[in-house]
Amino acid sequence: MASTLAHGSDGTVAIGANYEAQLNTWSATLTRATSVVTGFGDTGHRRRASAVLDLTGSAGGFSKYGDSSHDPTGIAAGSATATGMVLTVATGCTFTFDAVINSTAFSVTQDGDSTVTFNFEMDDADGPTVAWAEA
Amino acid sequence: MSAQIMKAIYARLIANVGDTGTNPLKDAVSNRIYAIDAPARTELPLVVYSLDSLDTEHFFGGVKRQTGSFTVSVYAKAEFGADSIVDMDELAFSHLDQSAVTVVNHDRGYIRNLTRGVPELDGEVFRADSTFEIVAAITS
Repeated sequence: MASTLAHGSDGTVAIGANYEAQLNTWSATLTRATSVVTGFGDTGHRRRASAVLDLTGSAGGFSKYGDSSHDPTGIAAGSATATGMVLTVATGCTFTFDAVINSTAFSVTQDGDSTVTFNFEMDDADGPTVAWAEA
Repeated sequence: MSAQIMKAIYARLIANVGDTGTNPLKDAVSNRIYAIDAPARTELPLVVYSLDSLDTEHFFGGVKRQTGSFTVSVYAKAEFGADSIVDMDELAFSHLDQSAVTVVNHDRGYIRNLTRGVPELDGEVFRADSTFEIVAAITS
């Protein structure tokens, strides 16, 4: 496959069972804690990165109604149990991991939109499984 | 898709209010409600509506939401005075603002007012343009 630029429309997100919203955006940040290990005589900072990877992010869109399955607070049956998530950049390019939904933010404006945002934090001992389509 | 939105707007403009069996706006202009332009030498007062823009918002999974902006213009003879055009603009506002309409192949259409019409004297005609927004998600 030739080198191809990904567009936002190539993406999607799956947040496990029992959620319903019309999503059109997700974001995720992979982070490692770092420590400054600069010593005497160094003229520039030296750092070491942790081996433990973290992943946090959010997925957002519009609330839906008209069906009992459209309850956006029903993720993982409303429990604190981690839910399987798949963040897709494009077909074959995914981050798959378990995560907890630590907050669900609603916003409703009388002359605007009715939006919902799910904020998640990874709960996966071996980190995300990353797949990236390559030739 | 714009045809379906246009038809939905027209259907609302000529629809009776609730179960009253009447439409004060349509009655006020004696059914003279036209899309884009009125026929030449049409008697006044009348209403003309036109779709100004139709934006598409994309969601994951191929779902699309349409947001259209349209203008409803009310025309009346100047000799009837500014009160008449203001009254008819009020009828258009009351009839359209915050109303749900049926749009083919969409979940529904929701109409809300964006700007109110202000009477303008154009020769021997009073005119007032109000702008509205219609929002609908495509279902097929």
